[in-house]
Amino acid sequence: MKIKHLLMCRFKVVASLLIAGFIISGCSEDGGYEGPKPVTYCDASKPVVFSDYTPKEGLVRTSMYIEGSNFGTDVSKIEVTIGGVQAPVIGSSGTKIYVMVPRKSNEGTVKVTIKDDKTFVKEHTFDEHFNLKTTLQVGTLTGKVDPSTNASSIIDGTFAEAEFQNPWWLEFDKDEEGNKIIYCIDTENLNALRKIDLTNQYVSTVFTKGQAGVHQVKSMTFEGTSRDTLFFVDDNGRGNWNDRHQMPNIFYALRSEKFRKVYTYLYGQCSYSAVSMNDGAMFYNTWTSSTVYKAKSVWDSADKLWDGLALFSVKANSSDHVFMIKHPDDLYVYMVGFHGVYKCAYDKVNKVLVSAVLHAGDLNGGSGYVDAPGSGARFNRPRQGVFVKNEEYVKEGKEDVYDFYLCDHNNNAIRKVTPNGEVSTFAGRGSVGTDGKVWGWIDGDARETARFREPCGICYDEEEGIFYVADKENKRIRTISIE
Amino acid sequence: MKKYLIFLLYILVCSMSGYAQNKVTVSGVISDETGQPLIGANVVVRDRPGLGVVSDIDGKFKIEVEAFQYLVFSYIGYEKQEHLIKDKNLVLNIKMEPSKETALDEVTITATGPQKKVTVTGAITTVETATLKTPVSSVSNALAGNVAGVLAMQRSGQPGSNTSEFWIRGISTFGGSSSALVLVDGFERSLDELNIEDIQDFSVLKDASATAIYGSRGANGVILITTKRGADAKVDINVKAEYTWTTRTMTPKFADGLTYAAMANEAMTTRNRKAIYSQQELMMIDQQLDPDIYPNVDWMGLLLKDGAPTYRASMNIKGGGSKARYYLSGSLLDEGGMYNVDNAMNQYNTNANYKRYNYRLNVDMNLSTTTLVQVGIGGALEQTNHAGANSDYIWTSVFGYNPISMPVMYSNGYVPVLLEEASDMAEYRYNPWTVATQTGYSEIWKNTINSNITLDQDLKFITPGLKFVGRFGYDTYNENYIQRRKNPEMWRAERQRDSNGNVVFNRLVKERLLAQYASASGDRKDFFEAVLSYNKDVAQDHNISSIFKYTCDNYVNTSNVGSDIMEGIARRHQGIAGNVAYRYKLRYFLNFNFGYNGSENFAKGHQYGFFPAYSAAWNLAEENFIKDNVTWLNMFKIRYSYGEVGTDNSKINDKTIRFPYLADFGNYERVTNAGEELTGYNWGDLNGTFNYDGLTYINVASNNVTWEIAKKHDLGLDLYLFNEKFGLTVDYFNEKRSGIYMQRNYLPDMVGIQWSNPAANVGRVKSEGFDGNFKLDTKLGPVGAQIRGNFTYSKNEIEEKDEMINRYPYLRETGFRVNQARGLVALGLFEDYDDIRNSPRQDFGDSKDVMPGDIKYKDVNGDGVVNNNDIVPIGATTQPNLIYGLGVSANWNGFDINIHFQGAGKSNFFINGSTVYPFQSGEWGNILDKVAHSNRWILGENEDPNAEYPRLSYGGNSNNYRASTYWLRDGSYVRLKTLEIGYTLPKTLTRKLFLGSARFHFIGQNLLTFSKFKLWDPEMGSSNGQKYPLGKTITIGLTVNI
Repeated sequence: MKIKHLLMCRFKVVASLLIAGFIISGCSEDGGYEGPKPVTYCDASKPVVFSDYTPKEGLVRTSMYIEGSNFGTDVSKIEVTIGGVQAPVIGSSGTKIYVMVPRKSNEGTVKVTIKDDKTFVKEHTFDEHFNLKTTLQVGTLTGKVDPSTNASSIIDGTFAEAEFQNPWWLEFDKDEEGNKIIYCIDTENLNALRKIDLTNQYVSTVFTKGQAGVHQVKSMTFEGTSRDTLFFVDDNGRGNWNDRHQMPNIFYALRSEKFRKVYTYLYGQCSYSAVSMNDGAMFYNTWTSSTVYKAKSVWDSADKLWDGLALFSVKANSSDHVFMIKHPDDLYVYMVGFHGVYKCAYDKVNKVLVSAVLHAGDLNGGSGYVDAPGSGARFNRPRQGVFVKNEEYVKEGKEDVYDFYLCDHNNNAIRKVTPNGEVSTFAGRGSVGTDGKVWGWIDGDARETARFREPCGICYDEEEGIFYVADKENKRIRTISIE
Repeated sequence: MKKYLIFLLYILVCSMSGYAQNKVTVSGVISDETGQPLIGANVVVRDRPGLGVVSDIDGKFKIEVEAFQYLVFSYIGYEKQEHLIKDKNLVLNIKMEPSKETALDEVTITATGPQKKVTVTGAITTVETATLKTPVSSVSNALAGNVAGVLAMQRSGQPGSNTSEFWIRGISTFGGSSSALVLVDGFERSLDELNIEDIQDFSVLKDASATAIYGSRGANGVILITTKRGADAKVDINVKAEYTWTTRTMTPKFADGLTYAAMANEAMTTRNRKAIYSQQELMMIDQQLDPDIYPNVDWMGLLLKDGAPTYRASMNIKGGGSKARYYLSGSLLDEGGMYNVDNAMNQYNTNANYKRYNYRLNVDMNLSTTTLVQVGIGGALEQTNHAGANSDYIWTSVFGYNPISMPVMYSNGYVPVLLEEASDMAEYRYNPWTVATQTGYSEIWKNTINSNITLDQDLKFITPGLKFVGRFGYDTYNENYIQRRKNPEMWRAERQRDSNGNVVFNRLVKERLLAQYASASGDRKDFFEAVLSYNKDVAQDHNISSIFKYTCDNYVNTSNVGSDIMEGIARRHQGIAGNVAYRYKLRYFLNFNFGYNGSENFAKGHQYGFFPAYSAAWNLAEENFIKDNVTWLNMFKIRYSYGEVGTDNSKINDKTIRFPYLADFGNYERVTNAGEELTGYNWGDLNGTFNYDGLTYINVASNNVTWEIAKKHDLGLDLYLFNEKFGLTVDYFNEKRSGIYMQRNYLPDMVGIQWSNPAANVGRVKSEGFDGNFKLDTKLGPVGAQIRGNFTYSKNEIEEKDEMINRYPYLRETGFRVNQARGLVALGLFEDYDDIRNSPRQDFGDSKDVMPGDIKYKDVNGDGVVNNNDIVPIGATTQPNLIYGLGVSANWNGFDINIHFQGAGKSNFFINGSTVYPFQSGEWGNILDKVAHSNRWILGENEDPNAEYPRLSYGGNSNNYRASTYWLRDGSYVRLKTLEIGYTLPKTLTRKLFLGSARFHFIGQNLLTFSKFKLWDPEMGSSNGQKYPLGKTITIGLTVNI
């Protein structure tokens, strides 16, 4: 009994020592993420001081800092207007307010209103006006996207409501009533032809793939001079010469029918683009050896169909999706493909295109991103381009007065190619960050700030001087213009 | 298993049956050799466990016993006394004599059982278990600097994986495994699951003669551990509790947001690129005006706690009588993780925790006077917790997320992420807070059960000295993994706001609802050993002993083996081994060992190998002319051994190859010139599509593969001087491995082999080195002190390897160490463009991109171009080739102190990764603060050609960021590995508390580290520091004996 008792006593002593040890060490520590910083409000009992703002001039979207004290850090209690336009208030440290200069703030008065958690406290207008400067800006015209999934569909509606799937190819047009229209091939193989009515700010669908009975429309072009016919060039998947009469490769639609009905124009091998010259001659290209054909040149009496006349290969023994864009004055046709721009002079007498010569890009067809003249330049999957008249060239009396602006798809940029073959970046790849990323959806200064995401289609409104860009992966129509 | 238990219970019941009654009273006083009363001495009746008393403060005792029983008097440090009590009451005054142990009595555990140290002829290090009892989770962490002959390094401090890698006498092969065999109670078991408190003896067998009896398994050395067993004494209960606070030896500190941003700008502009941040943006980072787009986060501070607690408690009970003895122990270890997880947010814990429960029961039973049965059951239950995403990613992520790319959370509650999940790095790139707290949790359960039974039969009825021991062991292990994984939607903001001032978000990672994944694996091992031993003294001075042994083992793992039939087959070994030893007095010793082993891995005719080992020793001190004249020389033993050991471990690229002698057939697969992968043959004309499958050799049989053989020499000296106050053991070893298994990668095409080439025993490695230890015991008045030290040095060299002949011999591995570090020789930084023009062209990336401030390399072969042909062996290896330890311990009046320094040398490693190569992977990667504020090359500010870091670059630099002497760091270090201070309560006090003894202790581990390398802990050998840092721990603990 006694031994047992002794043992019990010992256990109790040991146990209590152990428990004490564990209690001492059992306390936990604080740390980790404690949620966002709590906001503070302006202290109404103390004066709110407005000392100055910087900078005093700049472009739209310039970051402006308003300095002073006792502002509070809750941005919902701070209101800033510049030139009477509400400016987005992004941050406040209590002594510094960070706002973004809004559009149309030309008038320049800078006014700040501060509230505490309930009521109005103080308003201040700076004596000095903000001087808004103009610049080439990239904007967003239309295209609604679900931000969480980056998903969109083919939905018609006003510019605020309309959605695009993957805008691919654009053609600028003016209808009979003078409305400015952009026709847009939505998705690379045309799921729908969209009509963007710039005048009425409304997007509608002309026809869908099923309605038109087309296969994989890659591009479209207006008939040379009359512009009353719109041709659709189809990659019908028939690459072999022997299969050329199995499926159509060019369709057309008529203005008189508001381009709603699609008719077969030609049977041929798979084609990606076509040009209709001012004199009525038409050329298209195909996959095999990147051959360029003159349309309706050879009559196949057996099949009772027109065949094209093979002219030349854009790049010998090489195949690629090549897109042809003709010079407004029919001086030549640019062949965009093989990561470069090839130039084909037009023989107006014989009405044929003369063989392709590399104008800009890698002779071996390599891709990259380099702004340089001629063969030093690099592109990555260049796509649609547009010719734009350069008034400087007109003044200088040059023969060719057009610069060529094209979408450099995988470089996420709009590039500019001069008649001399100098290549530069016109818009995109702005806001260089730590991640080195150059694509995205950022509006703003064309070179410094803006970004595109796989732009493919481009057209130009000469009257207004506005470029419209089919920003494929952003699923939006973007604009480039002076603001 | 069941059978054993029933049997065990039966035995226990039998031993409890009663005895006849006739009681007498015995009383008296127990005193020590000086006549002072001994308090707490044990008085027990022999063979009657639990029946006994202890002496009181005056040394008095009184006990009532049955007549004609033996009373046993014992006290730690004193010789046991036994007295027969007849049938009369009596007063018995006992004077205890201190126990006498001399060096000649010191016992070493060898492969053939406990043996007196003086008679040992092989190279064996015996470790005092007290030196291992530090608060580390695995015994392996206590080896470095404590055990002569062991080279070790700890690579990570993460709970559950904070064990050390170790090699006995270094790495001596580049072929198969180089790790040692660990035997616990004679069975191959893991060192990491062992409870340190259970260890009775720990010895390391190093040379061929010591390990020969283990045959092929012992080629890389053997660690022998025996666990504690019960003793013929009263019940003894030991309780130990420890609380440890773990911090880090070195925590990497990263550059803050502004420094990072400024450096990013510098990296861009110094290479003629546009700066990333404008002055305005830098101001916004500084003032946090727009934390969504211009954040500034200290991820390390957010995620890492200052430290984490570890609890450890263990208890063991032992006792028994002469018929049966038992040892029972249990322990608990709970290591806390170092991450800050929001416990409040989750019902579960996502921290990197590790819990382990150990238990062990050892029972010894004398079935008869000649038969001893020992049963042991031990086990470990381990539980590891971590975040749902792989918790290694937390560390990767902390190192990857720079301070200014992401906030912890966007102001609208969106969770930020750097990269899209579609990319291969996926979870690595979640932000640290997300990985640690928002991805669910995982649990790993591991369960080990070891059981063994030993029958020890003395066959003296046949002939004296003959003995049979049979051992059977059965171990099972299983592991269960369950992951409950989820993650929130994750977003990344565009670099600029939209024109209305709103942040534009892109969703990069979809939300994942909680889902469960589970897996389990397990294996079992059984092991049988039969040993017949014979020991006889012939005449007076001659002794012959001999051992003959048969072993077989079986390892089965049938989980997760897939459809590979080879993997599902049990792995088996069998072999016989023997030993014949002769000694004359304690003076001359001869020993012959052999192992005859078979391996399933080789073809018939190559399966069996015979591996002999010879050793001899001469103890000079026992020669009469020394014994009589040089009395201070207690032992002077010279040992020499030579032996061969084989291994059958066949590895190629870390994958163990089973049955290399078997060929494998499969479908013909080929890759066309265009890179197209095709199977089968195409018959008929071009452009036809007539594909037929075709059979071909996928693996060609390697019929002649056989044992990798190590030829080991060992010359050693054991020395004891001045009444054993000074002891020294030194060994020189030399080993030649030959026949290292390798794939023949350089067969000419005309041989006609398309797929995996056959293998052969072609490699040769030579290694040699020294190891040794010494100890010195002194007594300065009342203070007892001991100084001890040990060192291990090993160097190896590849003599032959299957590799191409090269016109530059330094490009070959032959002639250099295994895992030799290689790189360019850096000559500093380029001073200016003239310097670049006048130097050999550097062909890494575009040589035109080389600028002043970039690293200038030596053109070793003098061909005018610096390229891969100029890579030479530099430094040593990542694993240290020299490990040493020095310790001092002293005790005085109940206080004891132990200081142990440990060091490592002859180790080099390259540093790389974005912490030291700023912006190597663009925005991915933090920069160490020490790098940012070092003497680095800055254009126009610090154009020092000898700067520590070269000119910055953004997105990597193929000239600078490659292995060279510029980035080679010396991994040697010395650290205060252990500082232990203990206080044992005086006997008078513990008596009052009814305790046998009580000791408080304080232990500091890794308190100080001295190293030339300052960026992270050099022991980890990490090239980028992206590892859970090693722990610096402070422990308080209490040990109580009842």
